[in-house]
Amino acid sequence: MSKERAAQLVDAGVWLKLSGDLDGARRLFERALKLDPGNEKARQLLAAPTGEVPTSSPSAETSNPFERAGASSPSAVEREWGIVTGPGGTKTPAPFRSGDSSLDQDWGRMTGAESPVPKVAPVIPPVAAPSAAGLPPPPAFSTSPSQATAQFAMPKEVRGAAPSSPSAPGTMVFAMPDEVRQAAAAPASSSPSGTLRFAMPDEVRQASSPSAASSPSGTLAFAMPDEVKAALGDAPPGATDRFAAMPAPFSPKPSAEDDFQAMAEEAPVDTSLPVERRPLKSSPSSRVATPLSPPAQASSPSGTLHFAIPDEVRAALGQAPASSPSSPSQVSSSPSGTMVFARPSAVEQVVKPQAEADEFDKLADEAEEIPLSSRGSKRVAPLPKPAARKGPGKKGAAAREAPAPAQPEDWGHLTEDTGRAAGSDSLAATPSSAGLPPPPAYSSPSQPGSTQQFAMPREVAPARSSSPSGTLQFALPKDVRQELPPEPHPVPKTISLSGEEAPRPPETVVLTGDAPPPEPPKATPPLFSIPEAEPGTPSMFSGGAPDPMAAFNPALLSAPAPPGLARKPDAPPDSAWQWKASSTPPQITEEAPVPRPSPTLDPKAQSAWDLRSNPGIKLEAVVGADRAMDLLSSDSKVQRDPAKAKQDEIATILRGARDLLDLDDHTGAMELIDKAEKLSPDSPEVRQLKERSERTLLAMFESRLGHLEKLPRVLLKDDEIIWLNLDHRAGFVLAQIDGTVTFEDLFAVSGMSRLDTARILAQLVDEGVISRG
Amino acid sequence: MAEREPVIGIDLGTTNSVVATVQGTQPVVIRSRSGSNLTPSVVAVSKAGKMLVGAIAKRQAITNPTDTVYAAKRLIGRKFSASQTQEALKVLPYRVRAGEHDDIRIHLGEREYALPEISALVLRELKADAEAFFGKPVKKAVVTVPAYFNDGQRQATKDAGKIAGLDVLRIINEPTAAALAYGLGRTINGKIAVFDLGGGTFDISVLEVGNGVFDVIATGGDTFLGGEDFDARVIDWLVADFQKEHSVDLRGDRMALQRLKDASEKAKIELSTARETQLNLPFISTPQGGGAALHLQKTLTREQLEEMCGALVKKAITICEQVLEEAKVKPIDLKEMVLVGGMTRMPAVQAAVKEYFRRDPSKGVHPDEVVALGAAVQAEALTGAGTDVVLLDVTPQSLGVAIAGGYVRRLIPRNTTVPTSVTEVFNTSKDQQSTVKIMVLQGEAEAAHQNELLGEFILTGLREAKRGEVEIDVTFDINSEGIVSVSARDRETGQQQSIQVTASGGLTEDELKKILDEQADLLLEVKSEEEKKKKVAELKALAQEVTELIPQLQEATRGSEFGQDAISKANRALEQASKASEAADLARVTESIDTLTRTISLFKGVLQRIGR
Repeated sequence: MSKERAAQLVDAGVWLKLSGDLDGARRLFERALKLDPGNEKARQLLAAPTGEVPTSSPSAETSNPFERAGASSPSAVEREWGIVTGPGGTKTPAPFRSGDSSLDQDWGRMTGAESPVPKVAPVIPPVAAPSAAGLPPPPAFSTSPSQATAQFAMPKEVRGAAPSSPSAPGTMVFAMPDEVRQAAAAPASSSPSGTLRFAMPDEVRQASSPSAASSPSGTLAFAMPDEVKAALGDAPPGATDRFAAMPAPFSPKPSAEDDFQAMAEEAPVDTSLPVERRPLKSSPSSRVATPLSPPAQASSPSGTLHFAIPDEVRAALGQAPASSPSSPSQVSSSPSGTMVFARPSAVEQVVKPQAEADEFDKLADEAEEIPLSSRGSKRVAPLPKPAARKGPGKKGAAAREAPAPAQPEDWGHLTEDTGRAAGSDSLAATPSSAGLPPPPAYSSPSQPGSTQQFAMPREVAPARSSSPSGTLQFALPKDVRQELPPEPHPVPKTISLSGEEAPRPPETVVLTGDAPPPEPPKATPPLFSIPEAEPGTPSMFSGGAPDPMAAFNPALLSAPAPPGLARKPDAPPDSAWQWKASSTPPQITEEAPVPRPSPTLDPKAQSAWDLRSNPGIKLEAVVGADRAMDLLSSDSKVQRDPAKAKQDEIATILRGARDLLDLDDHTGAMELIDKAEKLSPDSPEVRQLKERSERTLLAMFESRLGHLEKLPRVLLKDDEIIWLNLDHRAGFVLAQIDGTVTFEDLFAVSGMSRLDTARILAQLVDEGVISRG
Repeated sequence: MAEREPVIGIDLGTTNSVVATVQGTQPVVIRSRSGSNLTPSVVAVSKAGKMLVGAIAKRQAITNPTDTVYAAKRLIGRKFSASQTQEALKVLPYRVRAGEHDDIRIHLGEREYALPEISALVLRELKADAEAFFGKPVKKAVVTVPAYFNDGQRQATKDAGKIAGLDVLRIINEPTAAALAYGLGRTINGKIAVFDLGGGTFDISVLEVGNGVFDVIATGGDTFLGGEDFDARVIDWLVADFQKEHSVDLRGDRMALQRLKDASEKAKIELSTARETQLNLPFISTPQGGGAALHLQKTLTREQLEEMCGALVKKAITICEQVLEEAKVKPIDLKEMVLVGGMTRMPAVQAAVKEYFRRDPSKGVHPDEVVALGAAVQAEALTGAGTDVVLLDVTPQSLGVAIAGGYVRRLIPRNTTVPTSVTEVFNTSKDQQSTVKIMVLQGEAEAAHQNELLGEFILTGLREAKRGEVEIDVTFDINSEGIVSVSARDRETGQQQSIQVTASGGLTEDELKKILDEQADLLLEVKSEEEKKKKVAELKALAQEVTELIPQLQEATRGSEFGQDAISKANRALEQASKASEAADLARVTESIDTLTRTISLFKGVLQRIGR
């Protein structure tokens, strides 16, 4: 554990170093060394000159998400960014190519955690230097070539976007920050503005119009959610076209890369506007909104999406919020790197009607709590690393498996399926040498055909609601990533962002609305199958396009479902851990990886924590067996034992009473004890506590009376007594005091308990009504 | 000359009791330890289990009704099944049940008590007051009872005295005691009336006084007419007025009711001397819905009180008329009129009595003390010290035997002075009768079954002869103790049979003995507790002294090791003393007292030598 933690610290330190915070980086390296004295990387980093980042040696088992098994030594950028092949099959250089191999190595390590999520085809954006504004590189995306799905986690640090570049149909274009581009030293053949291309899911492709294939340089095109469109208002003419016929974001389409490219290239982009200011279209629907807006309203080339940069990103850049009236629909102002993403809430909502959105939220929240493990049984092979980069060796690979410490742990990492079709080179993107934080790593399914399951991280949830323009954020939990077996990932579908056509392996996921979606895998039931849309529910796609959220059908993802969480294929659709399958699940490639057996909840299991039925859940790793508790809904048939509830209530009350007694608040304690006595008159504990409290109170009151054998006298006159604030009990006690009865006699004749009488007498003494004994 | 043993006279009343003695030649009332002349005849057990007797018990009679016994005099000596008992139980709030012998048992606190035990508690309280007055134990007493008390009731009263640790010299009638108090035995020969309106009962008695004999020739009254009824009328008036003003029924609140009762009684007493009085009861009630407590402030005038209670007074006068008529005595025949009981202080009562008896009643003696004073006089006379005439005791009810036809042949009429002995000859009522049954009856009714059966026996071996030929002598003998002996003898054969009729107060001999033993143990325990308390107090005082001496000794012996051992021993002794007093172990306390006493002596000696 300490080694992993040390690796995380090292990774974080690398990013800090890249960001320019050398002192912070040094501290992290030192801490890492303390935790793991054998961490060579940390030692090297500490010893390395400023700015240098030692590379780690490549390893076949590295979890570098961008490493591909068997691939020729790609550049670091290529490795980081994955291998993206345009429609023509040419290798698109990684947008963040950097001559610094160590940086490439860091990229891979930072993003190279294991993930059960099928590895998506690495998206190698065109080589473009990141903006000089120090924007962070765009997030890494992994796509499942076989399933033509792309999953990615959008980091909080997503900032700016490189200017968009035309993208071919079936490609997902990301605007690359300038810094990233600069660091990556993207070749000229890459997207001129440093766009990141990803294989676009078929749904996306379908939803997008071919004419809108091209995207402005530096823009990442997604199907725009309706609400994003609504928020954005009218888009410029060029932009309007871009969002026409937006497909599902991650609908895989083995042959759709061309379409995507075409889509990206077709749609003209108003390059006069900075990317971030280019309006995004959103549907008038209030809630139905996804990153992929309906084609009819799309203003970007088919398969391209423009999203406004989240406010937090804007804030980091010093920009005005996207929700400001002036620019409700503008994307990042970074001239070179505009990265737009749909809001995750929009993503889910486009899939299902409003009534089902809650279910998604609920499951997403539950997914946060439940460690998901990927259904994918095969680990995505890491991306091939740049030659110049030296990995940290096995240890480094192991360390690389750990998620980036700067990233939320739930983000997970993209483990790239390095297996790719021949002819398609992958370009890895290297992080900007300007010290931009690396994009979050995503774990992709290890093999095509397997489904991708992911948990919606907590960080995504607020981002969903707060980001005005929508940020599509997905992350794979660490546990999910760890569940992935170390199996090579088939070559994902490559996506070209530069407009170049790249050979598209069948499993490459293309974001285009033209190609039919791939067949969903039949072996593994989805973890999150998208609930069926209600009839009449506006879909983000016009023209009968398939539901974009079907792209999120884990069946499309190559990663097998984590054990213990998957359900049997014939399980009812509304059981736990289960999304409703979409009516038209997206197609997946023929070469879907053999899925791992899905963890299932035994129908006989009495508890979600029943280990016998849920071997995939490592209960002891999460919480002690005696602490694992099942949820209990308000209308659950399981009735709580009223006696137990009463006992609990009494115990709570007594606990409070004891606390008050310890604080010498005996009066308050007595009130609580009286309450407990009403609930349980025969409880010996209550009786004991009551006696204890009464004894103390009685002693206190009697001490104020003086000698109890003395005769008290009334000190006030009748006309003075009448102005006192007494009740009838005190009046009775006072009436007995005639100079002939002692305090002890008063206790006997009061008709009340000794404690009550003492309290009254003490009050009378304190107020000077009667004399003290 | 040896100091005389003190004797006391006790008026064991239904509502209040008084104890008196003769000092010098004058009878005086002995005040209670709380300073009052009257001791309420109330016994209670508080919620904490403490036994309360007297005024303190009366203060909580309403707030603690089920564990407060009052008016036990109405039940003492009676059978549970008797009509008078059942009538009384209707208004009594405490728990009463029948004993094994149809006697009455009262549940008080956590145990049951016989009636004599209840009365014994009151008598013990009075005894304690007397002992506090004399400063020494008091054993002998004369106790008064109503004139209509039967033998059983009188015996029960005697038993109560015995249980209280008193040697009851004599049970005398209350009117007789009142007459004694006025000295009428010496100054008057003739008929006198005693009008006794107490707290709970009303008695009118006509006595024939002469030659030192006080003969009660008529007695009557109402056991449910007394000062409490007058108080109740005032309470009703207050409650009704408060309800009209505040819509609050004070009867629902026991505390309020208790305060009302006390205030009403006090107001009634005040109005005997004042024309009006104020009833001020602040914080009498708290409204149900909350808010400030309510006050009761009323003015009651004498006229209002007389108007409220006129009917009660009239009832008493009506009873007087009946009794006098029965005794064939006219008010004008009376030589003296004696008022007894606190209610006779009420001007309205005095006026009514004056109006009926056509004479001013005697007021020389306080009416609520007169009976006790007379009892004290009689007690003094019985011990031989006094010069007053000894009252001749009389039988309160007629004694006779059942005869053929279901009738009663009275041998000893009521008010016959005792001791007495009467013999009468009876005959057989059937031919060849060889056995005769003698049934001893007590009462005034003509029909045998309407009188109380004191006992019966059988005489056999009679000569078989025609009816009327066999003669049998039946003798009734009553000694000074009131024990009735009845015998029957065949004149011809000389065969004789007899029985001794002892009035039963409800307790058997064994029961009485057991109670007496328990009382003795209780007394020992009480004494032991008192002694323990005294010792503990003494120990604490010694410990305090030692604690003060230790620093002085340390100062005096500073710089030397002298005395250090003693100081450490003294500290140890203090610890042991503390533990002993906490444990209240008499033996350890005593031992600690000795130790600390020696320690003090040692320390003081050392300090003296050192010169401090």
